Amino acid sequence: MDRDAELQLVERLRAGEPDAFDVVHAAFNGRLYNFLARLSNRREVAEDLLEETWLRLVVHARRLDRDTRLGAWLFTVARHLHASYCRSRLLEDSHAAGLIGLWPYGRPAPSPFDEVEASETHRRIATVLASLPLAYREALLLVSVEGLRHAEAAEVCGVKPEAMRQRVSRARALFARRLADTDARGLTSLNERTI
Amino acid sequence: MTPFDTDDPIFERLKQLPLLTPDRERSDRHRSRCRTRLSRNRRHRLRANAPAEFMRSAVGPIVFAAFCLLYVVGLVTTALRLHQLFQ
Repeated sequence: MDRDAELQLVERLRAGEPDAFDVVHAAFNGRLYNFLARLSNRREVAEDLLEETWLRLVVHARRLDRDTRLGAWLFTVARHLHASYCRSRLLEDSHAAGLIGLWPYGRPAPSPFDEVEASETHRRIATVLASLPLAYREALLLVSVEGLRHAEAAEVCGVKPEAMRQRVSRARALFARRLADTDARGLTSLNERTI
Repeated sequence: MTPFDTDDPIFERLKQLPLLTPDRERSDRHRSRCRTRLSRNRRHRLRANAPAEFMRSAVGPIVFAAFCLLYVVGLVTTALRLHQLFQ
């Protein structure tokens, strides 16, 4: 989507045109879902957060700045929603910790991700990515998978471009190191880290 | 992405990951709900803004017409006075 078309879309969204919403939805729905699913490692969570992201756009459409970059705006909202979800889950987990003895507890069943990652190579890359710390994972997803510029990714994550550049570089290095580890030792150790 | 990154082998490997896609039916349902909500918001806004819009668009011409009327009345009054003076 070129910049002029994007600015026109923003204007139409501000006016509340449903057709403009359809265009934005078609352009970003898959990308946002992929980002959220890789970030959360849970399909159902990603679906919920995706719906909430679109709702936020509907609610805030009128107040969008005229020069809004839709991609950056949507990824920022999605990232914030994921962060809120993580915080709430942390609270739930700490609350549930007291009940742990009352409920049978075991390893979760294989996620749908395992089924989708058909080839061994993809499975390995996905597992290594999922094993990275959240900040590194989102940096890699935004810059390498979504193709955002460092400045845009920095805006999404609320850091300075230089900090984002460093974060991507560190994430890349860690990813490469862990990928090499899996060549040597297999996925078992990473799977433990992911869970 | 910067030109520096495009050939990065690590990034290339990450790009190989299959794109995970959302449930299509659920996405369509939600999109249609969002559309409806957007249309409803728009209708509400237009309805709420209608009197204000009317005032904004009507005030200018009304003020202008009032000035014109005052001018014409002034002109006629002066003409009548002058007419009485020279009679």
